[in-house]
Amino acid sequence: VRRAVAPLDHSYSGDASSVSLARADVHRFAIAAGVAGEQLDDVRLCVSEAVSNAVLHGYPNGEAGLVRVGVVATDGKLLIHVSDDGCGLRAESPTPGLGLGLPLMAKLSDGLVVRERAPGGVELHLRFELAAS
Amino acid sequence: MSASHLDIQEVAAGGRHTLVLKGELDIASVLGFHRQFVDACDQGAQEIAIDLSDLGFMDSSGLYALLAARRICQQQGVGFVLTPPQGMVRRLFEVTGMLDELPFAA
Repeated sequence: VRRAVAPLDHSYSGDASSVSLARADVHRFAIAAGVAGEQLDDVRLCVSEAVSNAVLHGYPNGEAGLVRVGVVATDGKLLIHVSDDGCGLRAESPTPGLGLGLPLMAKLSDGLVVRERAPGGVELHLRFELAAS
Repeated sequence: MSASHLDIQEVAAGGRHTLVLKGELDIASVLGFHRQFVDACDQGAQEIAIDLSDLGFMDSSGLYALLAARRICQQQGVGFVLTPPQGMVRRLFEVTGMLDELPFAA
Protein backbone atom coordinates (compact mmCIF):
# COMPACT_ATOMS: atom_id res chain seq x y z
CA VAL A 1 0.00 0.00 0.00
CA ARG A 2 1.39 3.40 -1.00
CA ARG A 3 1.55 5.98 1.78
CA ALA A 4 2.43 9.69 2.03
CA VAL A 5 5.83 10.05 3.70
CA ALA A 6 7.70 13.24 4.56
CA PRO A 7 10.73 13.67 2.27
CA LEU A 8 14.10 12.46 3.51
CA ASP A 9 17.03 14.87 3.31
CA HIS A 10 20.20 13.85 5.16
CA SER A 11 23.90 14.70 4.96
CA TYR A 12 26.51 12.07 5.78
CA SER A 13 30.26 12.29 6.14
CA GLY A 14 32.04 11.33 2.92
CA ASP A 15 33.53 8.08 4.18
CA ALA A 16 32.77 4.39 3.91
CA SER A 17 30.90 4.14 7.21
CA SER A 18 28.16 6.38 5.77
CA VAL A 19 27.16 3.85 3.12
CA SER A 20 25.32 1.52 5.52
CA LEU A 21 23.77 4.48 7.35
CA ALA A 22 22.35 5.97 4.16
CA ARG A 23 21.25 2.54 2.97
CA ALA A 24 19.36 1.91 6.21
CA ASP A 25 17.72 5.36 6.19
CA VAL A 26 16.50 5.02 2.60
CA HIS A 27 15.39 1.43 3.25
CA ARG A 28 13.22 2.61 6.15
CA PHE A 29 11.82 5.46 4.05
CA ALA A 30 11.00 3.10 1.17
CA ILE A 31 9.19 0.65 3.47
CA ALA A 32 7.17 3.52 4.94
CA ALA A 33 6.30 4.62 1.39
CA GLY A 34 4.99 1.14 0.61
CA VAL A 35 7.88 -0.19 -1.49
CA ALA A 36 8.20 -3.96 -1.07
CA GLY A 37 9.66 -7.17 -2.45
CA GLU A 38 12.30 -7.18 -5.16
CA GLN A 39 11.92 -3.45 -5.77
CA LEU A 40 12.79 -2.75 -2.12
CA ASP A 41 15.96 -4.83 -2.56
CA ASP A 42 16.75 -2.88 -5.73
CA VAL A 43 16.32 0.48 -3.98
CA ARG A 44 18.64 -0.64 -1.17
CA LEU A 45 21.28 -1.88 -3.61
CA CYS A 46 21.13 1.24 -5.80
CA VAL A 47 21.54 3.55 -2.79
CA SER A 48 24.54 1.52 -1.66
CA GLU A 49 26.11 1.84 -5.11
CA ALA A 50 25.33 5.56 -5.38
CA VAL A 51 26.73 6.50 -1.96
CA SER A 52 29.76 4.23 -2.47
CA ASN A 53 30.47 6.02 -5.75
CA ALA A 54 30.17 9.41 -4.05
CA VAL A 55 32.62 8.35 -1.32
CA LEU A 56 35.14 6.56 -3.56
CA HIS A 57 35.16 9.02 -6.46
CA GLY A 58 34.18 12.24 -4.70
CA TYR A 59 36.67 11.93 -1.87
CA PRO A 60 39.18 9.35 -3.18
CA ASN A 61 42.00 10.28 -0.83
CA GLY A 62 39.96 10.64 2.32
CA GLU A 63 39.27 14.35 1.92
CA ALA A 64 36.69 15.78 4.32
CA GLY A 65 33.34 16.26 2.68
CA LEU A 66 29.67 15.43 2.73
CA VAL A 67 27.38 13.14 0.81
CA ARG A 68 23.78 14.33 0.67
CA VAL A 69 20.90 11.93 0.15
CA GLY A 70 17.37 13.03 -0.57
CA VAL A 71 14.35 10.84 -1.19
CA VAL A 72 10.79 11.73 -2.05
CA ALA A 73 7.80 9.55 -2.89
CA THR A 74 5.43 11.39 -5.20
CA ASP A 75 3.03 10.65 -8.06
CA GLY A 76 3.72 6.92 -7.93
CA LYS A 77 7.47 7.40 -8.09
CA LEU A 78 10.34 7.10 -5.65
CA LEU A 79 12.93 9.75 -6.51
CA ILE A 80 16.40 9.46 -4.95
CA HIS A 81 19.08 12.12 -5.15
CA VAL A 82 22.70 11.56 -4.06
CA SER A 83 25.31 14.31 -4.37
CA ASP A 84 28.80 15.21 -3.23
CA ASP A 85 31.11 18.22 -3.38
CA GLY A 86 34.11 16.19 -4.45
CA CYS A 87 36.39 15.73 -7.43
CA GLY A 88 33.84 15.28 -10.21
CA LEU A 89 33.23 12.57 -12.80
CA ARG A 90 36.78 12.30 -14.03
CA ALA A 91 38.27 11.52 -10.65
CA GLU A 92 39.87 8.11 -10.37
CA SER A 93 39.65 6.28 -7.10
CA PRO A 94 42.76 4.60 -5.66
CA THR A 95 40.37 1.79 -4.69
CA PRO A 96 39.80 -0.35 -7.78
CA GLY A 97 36.38 -1.66 -8.65
CA LEU A 98 34.54 -3.55 -11.32
CA GLY A 99 32.87 -0.51 -12.80
CA LEU A 100 29.58 -2.27 -12.13
CA GLY A 101 27.93 0.43 -10.03
CA LEU A 102 26.45 2.63 -12.74
CA PRO A 103 25.35 -0.25 -15.03
CA LEU A 104 23.71 -1.92 -12.02
CA MET A 105 21.81 1.24 -11.07
CA ALA A 106 20.75 1.74 -14.70
CA LYS A 107 19.49 -1.83 -14.86
CA LEU A 108 17.65 -1.95 -11.55
CA SER A 109 16.05 1.51 -11.57
CA ASP A 110 13.55 3.06 -14.00
CA GLY A 111 15.75 6.07 -14.62
CA LEU A 112 19.32 7.17 -13.88
CA VAL A 113 20.88 10.57 -14.47
CA VAL A 114 24.46 11.45 -13.45
CA ARG A 115 25.92 14.89 -13.96
CA GLU A 116 28.59 17.20 -12.63
CA ARG A 117 27.46 19.98 -10.33
CA ALA A 118 28.39 23.56 -11.22
CA PRO A 119 29.97 24.26 -7.81
CA GLY A 120 31.90 20.98 -8.01
CA GLY A 121 31.10 17.36 -7.32
CA VAL A 122 28.55 15.02 -8.84
CA GLU A 123 24.83 14.54 -8.47
CA LEU A 124 23.01 11.34 -9.24
CA HIS A 125 19.27 10.91 -9.64
CA LEU A 126 17.44 7.59 -9.49
CA ARG A 127 13.78 7.04 -10.32
CA PHE A 128 11.70 4.02 -9.37
CA GLU A 129 8.16 3.63 -10.70
CA LEU A 130 6.07 2.24 -7.85
CA ALA A 131 3.50 -0.44 -8.47
CA ALA A 132 -0.10 0.84 -8.37
CA SER A 133 -1.69 0.30 -4.98
CA MET B 1 26.27 1.04 12.30
CA SER B 2 30.02 0.87 11.72
CA ALA B 3 32.39 -1.30 9.71
CA SER B 4 31.57 -4.14 12.12
CA HIS B 5 28.25 -4.80 10.36
CA LEU B 6 29.88 -7.88 8.83
CA ASP B 7 30.49 -10.89 11.06
CA ILE B 8 32.98 -13.49 9.80
CA GLN B 9 33.29 -16.89 11.42
CA GLU B 10 36.19 -19.09 10.31
CA VAL B 11 35.91 -22.87 10.49
CA ALA B 12 39.04 -24.91 9.70
CA ALA B 13 38.76 -28.64 9.06
CA GLY B 14 41.72 -30.43 7.52
CA GLY B 15 42.99 -28.27 4.72
CA ARG B 16 39.62 -26.61 4.16
CA HIS B 17 38.97 -23.19 5.65
CA THR B 18 35.40 -21.94 5.54
CA LEU B 19 34.61 -18.27 6.07
CA VAL B 20 30.97 -17.87 7.05
CA LEU B 21 29.75 -14.33 6.30
CA LYS B 22 26.78 -12.80 8.12
CA GLY B 23 25.59 -9.22 7.84
CA GLU B 24 26.49 -6.77 5.11
CA LEU B 25 29.41 -6.80 2.67
CA ASP B 26 30.03 -3.30 1.28
CA ILE B 27 32.91 -0.81 0.96
CA ALA B 28 33.09 -0.43 4.75
CA SER B 29 33.48 -4.16 5.40
CA VAL B 30 35.36 -5.56 2.36
CA LEU B 31 38.73 -4.75 3.89
CA GLY B 32 37.96 -6.86 6.99
CA PHE B 33 36.84 -9.70 4.75
CA HIS B 34 39.97 -9.44 2.62
CA ARG B 35 42.25 -9.49 5.68
CA GLN B 36 40.60 -12.60 7.10
CA PHE B 37 40.71 -14.27 3.70
CA VAL B 38 44.45 -13.57 3.36
CA ASP B 39 45.01 -14.89 6.92
CA ALA B 40 43.30 -18.15 5.93
CA CYS B 41 45.55 -18.41 2.86
CA ASP B 42 48.62 -17.76 5.01
CA GLN B 43 47.61 -20.58 7.37
CA GLY B 44 48.22 -23.05 4.55
CA ALA B 45 44.65 -23.72 3.48
CA GLN B 46 44.30 -26.13 0.57
CA GLU B 47 40.79 -24.94 -0.14
CA ILE B 48 38.88 -21.85 0.93
CA ALA B 49 35.10 -21.87 1.01
CA ILE B 50 33.15 -18.66 1.38
CA ASP B 51 29.71 -19.35 2.83
CA LEU B 52 27.30 -16.68 1.55
CA SER B 53 24.10 -18.47 2.59
CA ASP B 54 23.41 -16.16 5.56
CA LEU B 55 24.77 -12.94 4.06
CA GLY B 56 22.00 -10.36 4.18
CA PHE B 57 23.38 -7.72 1.85
CA MET B 58 26.15 -7.29 -0.70
CA ASP B 59 26.86 -4.70 -3.38
CA SER B 60 29.36 -4.57 -6.24
CA SER B 61 32.26 -3.91 -3.85
CA GLY B 62 31.57 -7.36 -2.37
CA LEU B 63 31.55 -8.92 -5.84
CA TYR B 64 34.90 -7.30 -6.52
CA ALA B 65 36.29 -8.67 -3.24
CA LEU B 66 35.14 -12.21 -4.12
CA LEU B 67 36.68 -12.00 -7.60
CA ALA B 68 39.93 -10.75 -6.05
CA ALA B 69 39.85 -13.66 -3.57
CA ARG B 70 39.36 -16.15 -6.38
CA ARG B 71 42.30 -14.63 -8.27
CA ILE B 72 44.57 -14.96 -5.21
CA CYS B 73 43.52 -18.60 -4.79
CA GLN B 74 44.24 -19.31 -8.45
CA GLN B 75 47.68 -17.70 -8.14
CA GLN B 76 48.51 -19.76 -5.03
CA GLY B 77 47.03 -23.04 -6.22
CA VAL B 78 44.39 -23.00 -3.49
CA GLY B 79 40.87 -24.31 -4.14
CA PHE B 80 38.06 -21.74 -4.05
CA VAL B 81 34.36 -22.37 -3.73
CA LEU B 82 31.28 -20.38 -2.73
CA THR B 83 28.21 -21.58 -0.85
CA PRO B 84 25.28 -20.06 -2.75
CA PRO B 85 23.63 -16.91 -1.40
CA GLN B 86 19.92 -16.30 -1.00
CA GLY B 87 17.52 -13.43 -1.48
CA MET B 88 18.87 -10.11 -2.65
CA VAL B 89 22.50 -11.30 -2.61
CA ARG B 90 21.55 -14.06 -5.04
CA ARG B 91 19.75 -11.49 -7.17
CA LEU B 92 22.94 -9.40 -7.33
CA PHE B 93 24.82 -12.42 -8.73
CA GLU B 94 22.01 -13.04 -11.21
CA VAL B 95 21.69 -9.51 -12.58
CA THR B 96 25.47 -9.12 -12.96
CA GLY B 97 25.91 -12.53 -14.61
CA MET B 98 28.27 -13.64 -11.84
CA LEU B 99 26.19 -16.69 -10.99
CA ASP B 100 27.79 -18.39 -13.97
CA GLU B 101 31.19 -16.76 -13.47
CA LEU B 102 32.07 -17.91 -9.96
CA PRO B 103 32.37 -21.49 -8.62
CA PHE B 104 29.42 -22.44 -6.42
CA ALA B 105 29.12 -25.63 -4.40
CA ALA B 106 26.36 -27.88 -5.71
